[in-house]
Amino acid sequence: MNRYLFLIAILALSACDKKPVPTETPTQKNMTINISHVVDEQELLLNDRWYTINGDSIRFTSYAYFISNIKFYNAQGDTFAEPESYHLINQDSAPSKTFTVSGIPYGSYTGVSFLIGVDSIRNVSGAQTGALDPMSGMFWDWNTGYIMSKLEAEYIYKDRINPLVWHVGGFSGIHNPLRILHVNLPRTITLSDNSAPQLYLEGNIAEWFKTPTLVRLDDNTNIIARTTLVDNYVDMFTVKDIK
Amino acid sequence: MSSKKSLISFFAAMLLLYAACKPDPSFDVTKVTGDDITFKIPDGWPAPKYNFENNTLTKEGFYLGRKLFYDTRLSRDNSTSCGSCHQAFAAFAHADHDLSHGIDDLTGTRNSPPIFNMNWHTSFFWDGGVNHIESQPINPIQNPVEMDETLVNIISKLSADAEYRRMFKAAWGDETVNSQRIFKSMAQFMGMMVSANAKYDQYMRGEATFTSAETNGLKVFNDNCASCHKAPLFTTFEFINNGLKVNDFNDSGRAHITLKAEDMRKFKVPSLRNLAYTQPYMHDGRIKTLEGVLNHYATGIVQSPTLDARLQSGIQLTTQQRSDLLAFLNTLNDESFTKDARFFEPTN
Repeated sequence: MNRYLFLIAILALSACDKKPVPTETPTQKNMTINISHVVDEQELLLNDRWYTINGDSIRFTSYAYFISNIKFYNAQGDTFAEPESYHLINQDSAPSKTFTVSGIPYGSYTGVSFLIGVDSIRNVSGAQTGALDPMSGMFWDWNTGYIMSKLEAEYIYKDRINPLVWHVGGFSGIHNPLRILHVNLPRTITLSDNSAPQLYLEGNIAEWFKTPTLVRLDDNTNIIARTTLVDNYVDMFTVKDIK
Repeated sequence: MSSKKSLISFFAAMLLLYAACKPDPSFDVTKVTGDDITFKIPDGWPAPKYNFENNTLTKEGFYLGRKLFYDTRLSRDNSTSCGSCHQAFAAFAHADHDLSHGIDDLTGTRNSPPIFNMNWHTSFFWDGGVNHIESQPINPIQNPVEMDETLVNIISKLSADAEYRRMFKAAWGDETVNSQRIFKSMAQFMGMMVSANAKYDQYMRGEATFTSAETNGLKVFNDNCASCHKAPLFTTFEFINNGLKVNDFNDSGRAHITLKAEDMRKFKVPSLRNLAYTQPYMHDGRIKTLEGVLNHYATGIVQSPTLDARLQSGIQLTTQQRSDLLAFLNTLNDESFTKDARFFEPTN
């Protein structure tokens, strides 16, 4: 009887606290994240083909954004947060679309979240480096702060080719464009001795132009509110594969 | 000569010698010491907003920042440095220039501000668009009418220079040249520029006495100017519209940053320190003399929806009050700051 009580006590105690999964344990693993971009059903190619979105013709010339503050969640709701989590994803740069998150504790993960953009603190903390080096050009020098996401394109309207320039910046106030994306994993990713998992995320650029707000390409497209765009693209990522 | 007389002569001679050699108390050269690179908050001053957090102040970082400040290679054609428009003898403003000429003799739309006491500033530039001292230098570097250069090119030029590689290693641990190290070094240099040794400061420390004009001037100042130009920094760093007429530049000022109508034509209140060295005045340098400034506040203010409430009736002073006020403003000039060799262009 005592033996069972002892076991019950152990089980009860271990089920108690929800605490963040410690980042320094003897059993940790890396996970590689691979990002690909599509325009609905088609692969995204820059300066290449014309695509049709909402009935409008568009050709993309530039596409980049920051992914930061990556967190993994397990079934118990515990989180692992990647330290110094800043990645600049640039369609023009294949290496930028694959990166490794290291030191993730062994366990079973059911969700991942990240910020599209750079958190507000890093925008007011002076000179940064690595992915946050202003050398990338994703930075407003005259109004200190990062360009969270950038989409440039050409579109056909009134039988002319028109430039489209969307630079999404700012990090505070009512027009704050920072958005946290939550991606539910279709199946649990288990990190253990034997696995070297790869997570394949697909970002649909067409989502900038719809859901909840339909964006047509016309005289007003360049001055559309940035919050309209971010509220559209907050759901642009899906899991393409887990290996 | 009796021994008593010779003793008196001796002491008289010593006194004469002492008086001749004693430093002029209004000109303090004690700051001109090459090795003193420590940041001191002047007595009674508020805490600075920036105190070298994540950027430990070192001699090596400071002197690297100084070399960068005066290096014309930070411009596209190697012609223009920060020092071109920010001159030590002018308290780091651009002497006699309403607008500065940058690369290719191009001019901008705003007056080069002086550089001192920057660690207390809550934002930078006339419209406050820059929120951190380390985020300031990228602006003139990338501005096409100032230095028109890219960070990629600068890093390439500096990395090719053995002396820079040596200095980056000494300051930052290895020879890597990157933008963060460049900006932090420059922040160490500029952050050290403290101007707190004007006659006013000595008076506040009990080391000097004001004349009656200066004392009266201080009262005129406190009654009419101090709410925007608050001691000891002589600015509150707020953005206000002081009634300047809109000219062809049509400069929206702070509204350019905040996009709010209520910020239209508002500019950052500048410090009143070192006015003797920083003329001409206002965000576009349109007023050449302090008399002109006082004339503006008396009869030149233009009404507008965002004109500051405190200036609705202007500032009306008698001739005597004007004269006393100017005497007081003269006590805010810190000659020792303009002669501090630590901030001069390196000779090597």
